Amino acid sequence: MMATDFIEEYALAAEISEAEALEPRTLAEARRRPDWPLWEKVIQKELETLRQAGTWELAEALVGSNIIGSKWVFRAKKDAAGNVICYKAHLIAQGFSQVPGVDYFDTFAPVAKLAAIRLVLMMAAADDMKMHQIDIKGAYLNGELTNREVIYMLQPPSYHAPNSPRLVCRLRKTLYGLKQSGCQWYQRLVDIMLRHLGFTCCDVDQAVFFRRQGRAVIIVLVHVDDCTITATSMILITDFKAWILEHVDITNLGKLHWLLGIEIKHDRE
Amino acid sequence: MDTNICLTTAQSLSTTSEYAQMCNVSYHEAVGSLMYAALGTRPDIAFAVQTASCFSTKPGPAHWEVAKQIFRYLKGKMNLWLSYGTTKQDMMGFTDTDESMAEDRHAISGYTFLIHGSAVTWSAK
Repeated sequence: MMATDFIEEYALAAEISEAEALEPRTLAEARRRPDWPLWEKVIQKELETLRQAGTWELAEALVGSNIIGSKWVFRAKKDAAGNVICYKAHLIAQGFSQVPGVDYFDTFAPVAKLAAIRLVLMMAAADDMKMHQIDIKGAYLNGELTNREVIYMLQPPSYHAPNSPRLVCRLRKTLYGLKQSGCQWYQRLVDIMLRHLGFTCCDVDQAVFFRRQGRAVIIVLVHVDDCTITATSMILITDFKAWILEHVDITNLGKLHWLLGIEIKHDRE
Repeated sequence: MDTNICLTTAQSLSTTSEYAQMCNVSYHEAVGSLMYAALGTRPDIAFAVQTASCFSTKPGPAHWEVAKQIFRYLKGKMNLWLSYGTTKQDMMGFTDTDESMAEDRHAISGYTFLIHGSAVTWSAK
């Protein structure tokens, strides 16, 4: 098993999409475009996802409380050949107007260290373990806000609730753009891994979780919403995917080939 | 990195022509991307990148040449991979320091730890 080489693919992709102006920058711009029906559809889809997740409830803001803004951002995802494969719309909370100590407390979120990743790769290669990768869909939407964090957000631009346009959203779950989203998502993940799935958090790297039963070992490396699963047998990996699916929505990326810009090649089955 | 190249802050920008030459160079970004390679899978360039990064604040043409040299080296050695699981042997560690040889009198230290004969952690600073 080996690892190497990084291409600045992401930077390149960003440059290309900028040049071709595939993505509208504002809602108003999106509306003027011929492909607006496509964008409109994904906006509705995003609103439905947020509604299902119970991200907020409409409420009257307390007098003097801080109300943060919200904004739509649009993304056109492309495949390797440069064809648009899907449109995405995200509602982003404008977290820059949050006040520390009032609207948010901790903002840290650990990610697996490169040395830990290489160590697990080495162990996998030495003991012929299987490595798979999953991605957690809308990871930040799974974070839960505590009762201490009362956050009011303006209703999504142009998509106000029909009967109560003057109410604001009292957030229950985290949203992209909030200061504490990363931290709260990590807390939620720890809760799932430790309490529900019976994993142990590694002492030296907080983003590494493992579980051992006799000779069977499963190790999970976490990088925000990317989980790399290493296990002594395929059954353990399949089971893990089924378990975590009971708590969060995932995309199954199959065998590990690419991790943090590092290409992984398996030269033995 | 060539052993006969010696980088110092004296090679930083001094003349206007040097300034004109360097003003469009994104040295910091270049060294930053080399740094990720060095941290991720390339222990072989760790020391060279460390040396180049010392001059990020005020790079001169000589420093830029070294940075470009590292890119050329990487391009030539693209087929080098970290390879795990080839042998079984005990953990080995190597470490070395020099004592304030650099012009700023900071000690440079480096280490690498090998498990089963392949590098898992390393550092040069």
